[in-house]
Amino acid sequence: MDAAQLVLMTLNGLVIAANLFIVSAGKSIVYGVSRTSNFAHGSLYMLGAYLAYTLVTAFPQGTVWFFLAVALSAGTVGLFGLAIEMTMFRRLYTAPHHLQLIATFGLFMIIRDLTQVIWGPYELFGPRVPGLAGAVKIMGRRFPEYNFLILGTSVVLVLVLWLIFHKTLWGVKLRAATQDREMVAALGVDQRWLFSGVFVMGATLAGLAGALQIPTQPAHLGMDLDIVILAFAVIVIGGMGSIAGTFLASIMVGLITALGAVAFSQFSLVLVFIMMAAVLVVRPNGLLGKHLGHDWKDPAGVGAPPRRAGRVARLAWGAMLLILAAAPLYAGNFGLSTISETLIYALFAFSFWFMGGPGGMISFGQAAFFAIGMYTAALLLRDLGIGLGVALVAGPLCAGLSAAVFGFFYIRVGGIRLAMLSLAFGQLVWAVLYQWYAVTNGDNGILNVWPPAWAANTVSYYYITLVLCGGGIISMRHIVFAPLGYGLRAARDSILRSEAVGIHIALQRWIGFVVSGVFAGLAGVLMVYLKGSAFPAYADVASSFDALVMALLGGMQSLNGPLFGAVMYRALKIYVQIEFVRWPTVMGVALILIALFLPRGLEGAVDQIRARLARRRHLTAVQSPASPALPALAPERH
Amino acid sequence: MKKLSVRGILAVALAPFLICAAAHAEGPPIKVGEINSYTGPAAVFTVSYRKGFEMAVDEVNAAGGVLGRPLQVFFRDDTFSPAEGVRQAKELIDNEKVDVLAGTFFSPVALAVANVVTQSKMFFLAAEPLTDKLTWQQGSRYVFRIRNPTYELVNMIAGKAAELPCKRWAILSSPDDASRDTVENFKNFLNKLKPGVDWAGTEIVPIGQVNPGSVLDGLEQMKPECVFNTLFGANLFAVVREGNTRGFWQDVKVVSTLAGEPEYLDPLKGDTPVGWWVTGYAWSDDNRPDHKRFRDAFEARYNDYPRMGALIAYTTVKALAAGIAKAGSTDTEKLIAAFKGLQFDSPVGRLTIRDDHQSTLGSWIGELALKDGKGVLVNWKYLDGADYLPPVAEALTWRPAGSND
Repeated sequence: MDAAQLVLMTLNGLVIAANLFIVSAGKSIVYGVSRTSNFAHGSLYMLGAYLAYTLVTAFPQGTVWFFLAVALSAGTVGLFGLAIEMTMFRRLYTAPHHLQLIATFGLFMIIRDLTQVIWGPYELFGPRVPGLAGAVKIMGRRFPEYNFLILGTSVVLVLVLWLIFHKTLWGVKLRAATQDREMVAALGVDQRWLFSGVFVMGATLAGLAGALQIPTQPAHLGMDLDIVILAFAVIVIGGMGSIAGTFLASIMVGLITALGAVAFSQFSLVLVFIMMAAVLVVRPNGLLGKHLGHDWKDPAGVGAPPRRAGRVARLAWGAMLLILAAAPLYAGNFGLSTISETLIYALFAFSFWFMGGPGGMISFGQAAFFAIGMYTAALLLRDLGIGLGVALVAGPLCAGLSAAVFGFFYIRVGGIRLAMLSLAFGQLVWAVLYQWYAVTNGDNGILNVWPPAWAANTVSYYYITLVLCGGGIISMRHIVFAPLGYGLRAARDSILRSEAVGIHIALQRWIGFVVSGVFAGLAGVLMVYLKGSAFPAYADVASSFDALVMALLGGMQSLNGPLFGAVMYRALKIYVQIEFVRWPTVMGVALILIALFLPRGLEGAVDQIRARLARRRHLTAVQSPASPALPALAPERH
Repeated sequence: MKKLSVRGILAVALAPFLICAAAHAEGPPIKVGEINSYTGPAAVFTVSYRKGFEMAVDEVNAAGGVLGRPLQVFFRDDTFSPAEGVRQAKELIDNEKVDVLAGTFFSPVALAVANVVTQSKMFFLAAEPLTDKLTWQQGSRYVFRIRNPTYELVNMIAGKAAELPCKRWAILSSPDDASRDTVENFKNFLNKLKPGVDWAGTEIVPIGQVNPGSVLDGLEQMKPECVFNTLFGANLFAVVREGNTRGFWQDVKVVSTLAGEPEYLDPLKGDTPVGWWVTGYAWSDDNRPDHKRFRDAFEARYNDYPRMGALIAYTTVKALAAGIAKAGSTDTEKLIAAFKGLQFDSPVGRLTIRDDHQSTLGSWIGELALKDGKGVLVNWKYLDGADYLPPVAEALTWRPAGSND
């Protein structure tokens, strides 16, 4: 590598960094002040790009007009930000972060879908900026003039943000809120406008970054996800809420991306996530992040212990099992494979719920273990000719091992940092599966993974699935009431007290993650032989969100939650995808509604109805003394 | 989007009792399952495709259907994900009980659907995927394809590449399977046509990560005289723009697959890299009677011009209709026998489906130019696929055991 190449590579890295900084700074400030993490932040970036395209092409050509269009787009995205802040985000400030991520994931789906409706699926390329259309020579190489504008903008923004934070009253309030939100409220600062203001600022910055991109890359529909994942990585590395940290992390990620593009183009994505993991091990709060106090806790989670099935419930489950066992008598091939798929998803959702509910450790990378189970089975068959029988042991084993490795990092963090770290690890696994063509065959996936003759017919494979999924779920239910389960719940509810009674929290959680990984891996093996193929898509963000939504829909603290959730969510998804052309919008709205109005899932809704009925009965009881007293709602303990 | 099946069944049940004109298709419909990427990053390629597909189906049905039965299409969205493609294929086969499957754009989806149909013994006519593997290395007796494999496109463009006065070639590509096939084929053809080529290196651009600056740095570092490109989508546009900004394309000659299709030229507009030799679609200038009839009908119906996707979709439906008519039934085995050697008419003339399950659809090659701020194909000619595919006997030996039965 000669000097010219090194200089150019550094410059390219800095340009990537500048763009990342403008996007991530807004996200970092919003998180610092309001503790909300917004998955749709990249969608605002994308909107900025599309709006800028429309305005730039509508205005006359000219440098001034271009900047006017960019400013207007950023401002419009800011206003749009205000609208979603007032309608949606306000309801989420006090919600746990997984609800925020689900609701904003719904928003992400809606914005992408509506963008396609409004602008069409075409890539839209803005014109080059008059006056900045050429290139300058640096050490004999050409470098676009426009890139200096992006570099300059980010430097100016650092200064402006620093001035706002340190020289204005509003900035002082923001910093105060970042450190102690309750105290600021107690001092009489109207938090609502503070939060709205900061959200609008974040949205405007995202819009600005997107708008500035259109002379170098077209506005297109994938740009939202690409940028938001990198922005997550940047603010985790830099430390949430820290502008200087975000700046530093942007430069690191930018440079490593540029280096990756030159030296290891196949693994450029992986490099970023490896760097992120390394930073988090050394500095769990990020490079310049401070510990921002405890995360918000879900009061519904505390003091609502899971209950073992009573006699009636056991009978009901027995009957359910019989009905399922008799399925080959009444369901055709399609019915059987649909039930098999649902059972597998139920096992997957349960494996997530095991750590998310009783463990209180909500990860956004559960799909990684599922996919590792799948690929273990697929690779065994393709490369060694080893079939289903061995895969059923090896798949869960490999998934459990990787859960042990990931869990080693996960147990050091909690709450939102866990969410981001697991998101990054999930993406890491996805990136390896997607980019390592030599082994995983990339997006072609691994095909022809069909069961051996003894399991090949639909009915036999259905029974294998039923027994293993049922067995897996029952085992996990038992573990919830075994010492491991009690230890996990104790650690979830009070770290201090658990430590005081001698529970080794880190160890309990580590084992918990391994258990969760093993069963996710089992689900993966069953899925790959059901479908006959393994693809990287099974490891992507949407797949991890699926696990979370299924568990959440049923009720995060309900032992049966993931089962009901899996059935309902699969049914909803299949129905919506067939019936609606614009199904992502419908699903997005459904996710937002679930996050806003069913925070405790179906179980929560049932509890509310029960409580209301009980109150009514209580009222009648007061009127007529002969009626029995308030029925006991206390759970039946074993 | 889904037709009410109850109504469909009623119509089917009552049909024999209705007195009908001979020209109208009144038998039970032939169910065609169609899977394609209607959302996701490839949606841009399926908009025109869907229009072409629907136009062809309406034409077939207006002319009395096939075997006196109308075609009924079940469109499904694979969301650009092979996993979703597998799910949709199984649902169409097991639940909707379709008679045939058709469609797909993205090669991994096509291969995944091919895997399912082979297991389920269902006939599948792939429309747009480019990977060579679909009809050859991973061929299946149940899978046929309309669109040109990369082998054919590269064979066409390599002839042009060999005429260019370059010794030192750089390659610009993506890491996906079809792109790697393309590059491999190109190197083989050019080495054969012009021994002694100096391969300067390959710049691989990961999909979904656009860092055009780094890509151009890499290319400039190689100091090539000529570049072969297989990039597509947002990556292609960003890299072309960066090269224009730096004035890079003025110094090198470029040949590229696909970049001359309207799906690629429309977004590029004024940035269209003039002088690139490409495969594409000369939709506006190809006035052969069959093609003109197709274009006029399309423009009259949609008030828009046909893109490459529309042409392929239209041709796919016409092939399907001709094949089912020849088989005299929708029985899978009869369809397989009928499609081998099937001749049918398309907007580019009479095509044949060869014994290796590959159609002889050709392609336009030409030079990119700017006309009124839009990219167009000039100095183009239409090349017949039959002349650029490998000999059938050789292709048959590439196919897996049992797939030629």
